[in-house]
Amino acid sequence: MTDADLSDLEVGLSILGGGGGGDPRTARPLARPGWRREIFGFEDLDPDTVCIAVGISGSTMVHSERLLDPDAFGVAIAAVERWTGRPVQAICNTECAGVNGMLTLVAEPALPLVDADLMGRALPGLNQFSLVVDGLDPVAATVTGAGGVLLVDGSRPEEFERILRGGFEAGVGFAPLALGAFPLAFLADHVIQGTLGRALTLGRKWRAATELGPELLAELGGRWLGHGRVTAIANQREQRTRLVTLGGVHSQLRVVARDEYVACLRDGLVVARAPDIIVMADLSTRSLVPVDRLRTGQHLAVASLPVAEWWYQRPSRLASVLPSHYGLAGLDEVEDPT
Amino acid sequence: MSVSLPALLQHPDLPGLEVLAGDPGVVWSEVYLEVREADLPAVTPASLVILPVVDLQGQWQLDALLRRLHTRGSTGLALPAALPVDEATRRLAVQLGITLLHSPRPSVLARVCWLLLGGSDALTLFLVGRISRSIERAARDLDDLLAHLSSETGLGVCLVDAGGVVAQAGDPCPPEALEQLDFGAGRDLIDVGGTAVAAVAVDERGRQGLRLCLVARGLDRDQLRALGAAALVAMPAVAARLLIDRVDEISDAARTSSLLDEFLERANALDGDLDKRLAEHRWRVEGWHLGFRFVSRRVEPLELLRSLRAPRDALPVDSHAVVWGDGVSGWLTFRAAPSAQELRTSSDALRRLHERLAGLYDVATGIGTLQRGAVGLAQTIQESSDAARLAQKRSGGRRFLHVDRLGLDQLLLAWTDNDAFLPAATALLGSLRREDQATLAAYLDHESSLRETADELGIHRNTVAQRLARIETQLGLDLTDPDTRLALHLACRAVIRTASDRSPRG
Repeated sequence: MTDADLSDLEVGLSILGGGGGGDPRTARPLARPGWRREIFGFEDLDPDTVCIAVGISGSTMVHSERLLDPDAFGVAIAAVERWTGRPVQAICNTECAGVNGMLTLVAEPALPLVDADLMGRALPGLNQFSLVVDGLDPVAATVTGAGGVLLVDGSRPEEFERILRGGFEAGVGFAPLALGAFPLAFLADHVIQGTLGRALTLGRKWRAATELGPELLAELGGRWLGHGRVTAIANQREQRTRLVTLGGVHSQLRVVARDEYVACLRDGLVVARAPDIIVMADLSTRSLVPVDRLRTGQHLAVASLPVAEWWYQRPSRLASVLPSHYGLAGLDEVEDPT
Repeated sequence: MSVSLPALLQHPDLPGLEVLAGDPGVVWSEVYLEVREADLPAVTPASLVILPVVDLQGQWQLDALLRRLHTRGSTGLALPAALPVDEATRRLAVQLGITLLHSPRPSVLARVCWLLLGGSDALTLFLVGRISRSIERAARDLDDLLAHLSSETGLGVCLVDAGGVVAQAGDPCPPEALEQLDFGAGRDLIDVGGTAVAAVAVDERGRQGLRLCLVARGLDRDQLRALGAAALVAMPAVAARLLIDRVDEISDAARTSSLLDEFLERANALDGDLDKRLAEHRWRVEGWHLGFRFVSRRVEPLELLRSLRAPRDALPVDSHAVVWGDGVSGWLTFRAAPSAQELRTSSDALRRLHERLAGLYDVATGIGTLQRGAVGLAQTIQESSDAARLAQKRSGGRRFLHVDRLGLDQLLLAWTDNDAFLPAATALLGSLRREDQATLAAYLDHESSLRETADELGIHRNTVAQRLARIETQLGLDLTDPDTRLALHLACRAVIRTASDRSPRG
């Protein structure tokens, strides 16, 4: 991958952000002109290669104001190496979407970068990492600022989330995170492979298209859900949700959002929901509109893309990413898949 | 059996029931009340679903709820009034054919629905209970009673006769229904455009075709029967009230009539007691007054007074009207001397009143002159009375007389036309032959000229002289005495006119 691919990749990573994940463009200054990096598939490396997932966690909003020092990942990786006694030989991504998809490209340039991640899209919870969902109790380390390191081992998923968040809050609101350190042969079934490649393809087609519409979505393997003007945005604090209403010509769309877009209803019927990726984009400029950039009066298209098949392979995986995981009732079933 | 939204909206127990979206005239054949949506039957066609508890994470759940109800077949949803419903949800409701309601008290809504669904018996019991409650409350008058009936039952209540609406409270009776009323039948049940009217005859002496109507919206056939039963139960209370009002009215008329008598007698010497009673009736003697009088041979004075009430209230000045003798006397009072323009406006208003009543009752009207103070008030009332008496003698179109525009002779004649003078005049001239009466009248009219009298009667002068001699002898009077001549002249006019009034026309 070279710096010529970055514009396409940014769009692809924004699509996989599904309304969240942060703006990948904020990490672009980290890739200098002439930048290039080799991307490895699982088959390209020895199955015994020890690989660790890296990425930032916490507030991507803060990251847009204060850029991460890419060397900071080294501190977290070293802590995991020391604890597990396994030297790390390759890195992959915690969340190959949004700003994290971009950051990993410039992290630890001396190590091979494997095209694999723990989410396959942007997701809000640390307990939604594939390794945590599958119950592998990964060791995780995060940098707490001023040289401190927080390392978590053998914790249950609920605690995993709470303890690490405490670490981010002790720092600046976000922090580099490294977790796993497993051989590739072991990881193969427990990570989502090829997300970076998917992001690049999605971005390339999106940017090459002449018009944002059902044809483009079909080409991307997704569904066109409709379009309309944003007539209302209602925040519901208790559920930390935001309800976006789009008045269409023939039907009305409602999009339920949290950190990402969680579900879309057309005239009261659920037409798409997480973990499938729901995106909203400006109908004329085709630029993707994340949850925190929504404004009433915007004329937006709503579309969905299937999430990586990995999430559907086991009921326990799906349960950790459906709307009900966030306490939202009545959205788990897609009632109108047309 | 069914429940219609108009019937619910009209119901007195459901204040605050609000239509958020959908058809306001919708009719439901079933009503369901469930705390949990899951407890509803799988299929609920043409039904209203009342959900007293709706716990929402967001409006989208309401959209989804509407969807599910639509799938079940429901066409109505009543939500707790505190629940916010945004514009998009309302639009979806319209699109799905579901009428959305906000109900402040869902349990009461359910009870009313069951009452309506329970058929005419349950509804009849409810209405009869409410009617008895409204009768228990003391009513000041008919309007008050109708207002009680309406507020307790939530129905429109009105009293109509062939001339139109006499009194009403609550929703008015639609004009199309009034046209369909059969004033002969005992009971009418009419349904026009979703408004039901039940009418029953009210027994009232002296008033034909009086009907009590109960007006309701959105009732089906069975419920309409309940309305008819309710009207029958309410009717005697209304009839009793009319009777009480009538007795009150008659005794009040008698009181004011005798007060007017007293005042006219003692206007030039008012004492403290009379003053006080005048003040109680708000009769103000200071200021300027314009008397008027309406008389009719066709209608009782009390009825005349009644029909004067509303238009008189519309007059721009202080006005009073009292049943007095065979008609209604009254006066306008101006605090300061009215301008010529004001006076003309007032007398024009009285003329319009006359024209209105003339069509109905063949009324004769007299207007007095503008007078000041107590004595003046008595005078203008007397003048109007004289003028009315004159007007009564005239033919149809000219029965409005203003004293200001009368000749002195007519006034004098008016004065002779009273109960004391006429018998005396008749007694005086009654002994004379008919031709002698005519001769005497012509002689006095022609200033005692034998020749002109003979010319008018077409007889010889000597015949006139003979007749006069005979009259003088017969009456034992001296025709050269001026006082005698004046008295005889007036008597002739009175007697001859009375005779011509009694003779058949043509």
